[in-house]
Amino acid sequence: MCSATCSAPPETSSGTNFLIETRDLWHVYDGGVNALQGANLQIQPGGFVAIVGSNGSGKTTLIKHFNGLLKPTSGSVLVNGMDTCRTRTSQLARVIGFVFQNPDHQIFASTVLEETIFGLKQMGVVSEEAQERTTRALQAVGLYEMRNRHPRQLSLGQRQRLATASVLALETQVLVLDEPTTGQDFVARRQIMSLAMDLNRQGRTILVVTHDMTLVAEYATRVIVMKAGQVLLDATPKEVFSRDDILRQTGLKVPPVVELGRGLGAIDRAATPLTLNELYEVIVSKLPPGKASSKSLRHKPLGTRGQ
Amino acid sequence: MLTNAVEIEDLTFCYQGTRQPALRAVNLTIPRGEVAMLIGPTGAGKSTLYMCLNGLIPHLIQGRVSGHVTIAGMDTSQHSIANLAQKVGTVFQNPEVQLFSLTVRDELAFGPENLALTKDDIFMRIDQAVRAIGLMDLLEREPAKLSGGQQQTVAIGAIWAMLPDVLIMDEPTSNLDPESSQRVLRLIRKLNLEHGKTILIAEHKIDEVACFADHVIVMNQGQIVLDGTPYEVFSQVDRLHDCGLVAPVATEIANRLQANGWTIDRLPLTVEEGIDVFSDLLGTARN
Ligand SMILES: Nc1ncnc2c1ncn2[C@@H]1O[C@H](COP(=O)(O)OP(=O)(O)O)[C@@H](O)[C@H]1O
Ligand SMILES: Nc1ncnc2c1ncn2[C@@H]1O[C@H](COP(=O)(O)OP(=O)(O)O)[C@@H](O)[C@H]1O
Ligand SMILES: [Mg+2]
Ligand SMILES: [Mg+2]
Repeated sequence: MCSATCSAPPETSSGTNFLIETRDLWHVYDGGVNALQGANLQIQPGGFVAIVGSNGSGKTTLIKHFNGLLKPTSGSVLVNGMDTCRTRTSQLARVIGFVFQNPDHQIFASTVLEETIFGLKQMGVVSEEAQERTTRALQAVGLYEMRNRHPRQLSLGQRQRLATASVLALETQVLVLDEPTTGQDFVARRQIMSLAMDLNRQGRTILVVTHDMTLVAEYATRVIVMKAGQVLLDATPKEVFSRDDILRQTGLKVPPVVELGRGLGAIDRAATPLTLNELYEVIVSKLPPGKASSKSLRHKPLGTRGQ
Repeated sequence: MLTNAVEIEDLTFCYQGTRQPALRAVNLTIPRGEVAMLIGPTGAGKSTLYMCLNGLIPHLIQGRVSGHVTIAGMDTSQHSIANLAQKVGTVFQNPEVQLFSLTVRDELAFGPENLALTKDDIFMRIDQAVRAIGLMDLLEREPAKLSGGQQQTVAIGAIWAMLPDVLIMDEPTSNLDPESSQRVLRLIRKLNLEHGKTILIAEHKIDEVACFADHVIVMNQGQIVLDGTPYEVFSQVDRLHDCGLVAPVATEIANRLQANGWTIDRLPLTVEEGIDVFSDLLGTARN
């Protein structure tokens, strides 16, 4: 599958301390679709990185190169300094946990529990430890009660969470999630994301492909914007949301919280809040005193970052 | 002339092999020409309810059913899935399950060809769908090899080309980028306004659709728990939280301000309304 470039002399893997690096990465599918056209990108360890871009811009194709599922047509992909063309997929799988966009592509066991434990057994994790991790992962996505069900007896949103749990249980250094909150309700979305946040705090790197700009605002430390198979911008969420030109070109929109904050004359554009809680605090701080009754401030955390 | 597009009476359904019913004594009426939005946490029963409307339940999916479902004047238990499909189009939650042709063009032609239309009409329908949804560049591609979002737009196009009386859309924008989602929602509105079609849509993106529907239905644990205009439903912020849902951003903030003693006469639903309400409160002009 690897093309001629892959058999070129080995790159010096020393000198790069990026976790993932792509160099002039091209991918042409059979039938001639140029899905990636010279994507360059560098990911530092420990980040919470969102990958955004319009439909068909190459996000899924890009991340499938990180675990060796796809190999470059030309250019290269380095994971921990290892060239994915010269590294066994099983070895990459120990570093990169990957949750597919469509859960039905990865679910095949006959109970929820077996599905979750499968990958751990493959990795040789001994049974007691495997049981513990499975329980934790299923509890985190709210499926523990359904552990004996057949995956077919779950709703699509529940199957998506099952696929996520199976990969979470692997506790890999990097977790790649392809649109994990698609079709999820507020609570499930918060469960999945807070679990990803916990793993991130423990030093794991999280890569999330998403169209959900609220998620980007609340969780991401960096945003990679893709367009037509290339990386258009790699910046913080605030920077990306302030680039109207980039947003327009890529079919993206700022999240409703940002739109609302910007529409309020009293809020400085540069200081636009990113989360609902921040926006609430800013509005309260600017309200003329005396309007509020003496009721003490009651906070209902809404599960945003830093709550 | 039919006045209701959908009438559901005491519908209960339990999937084979499970003990908990997925739908419990559901009653629902949707007048013709309405856009009704269905929201609810995952597992609430939205997809199951939709499968009762297009006849997959009881004809294809095994389980115990009781109650009555009438859609576009047809009792679903008396008409085959194919028969119902003449009047009721479904965009499934997972678009992959409904795409089976070798090219996008064939996929779009399949529905209209089964409607006994003339060749010219079929051609026109496809052309309209292609242009409305922006599928020009995908026509000769194989649906199975498209990205998730592209598959979703093809599934929407395929149903669009059929112009069914009742359109059921189960989270049709879940895989779409923000701009494409907005385009699809605008098209749905247009189909409703210009062609008088009845539309049932399940969505999670509450901010985008807050004011979009005529009628909002909230499901939780197999039951309908709220049913009313967008304002009637979204202003019940605490009830929504109890179901694990949230109200639109502007409504959430206004509700919190109210709870802390500020006076807000009418809760805003959209970002625009929010800007008006909070600007007033802040005593500033809109910018
Ligand atoms: N298996 C495949 N065969 C051929 N073309 C494909 C395949 N998968 C994706 N593509 C095409 O590659 C491009 C990028 O797709 P993808 O990476 O899935 O985009 P994204 O995830 O950003 O929506 C699209 O034009 C898509 O149609
Ligand atoms: N094929 C099936 N067999 C058994 N139970 C199912 C099946 N499909 C869905 N369920 C269950 O029925 C309930 C409702 O599911 P669903 O209608 O898909 O919910 P929603 O669309 O609101 O997310 C869930 O508890 C789900 O686990
Ligand atoms: Mg994708
Ligand atoms: Mg569903």
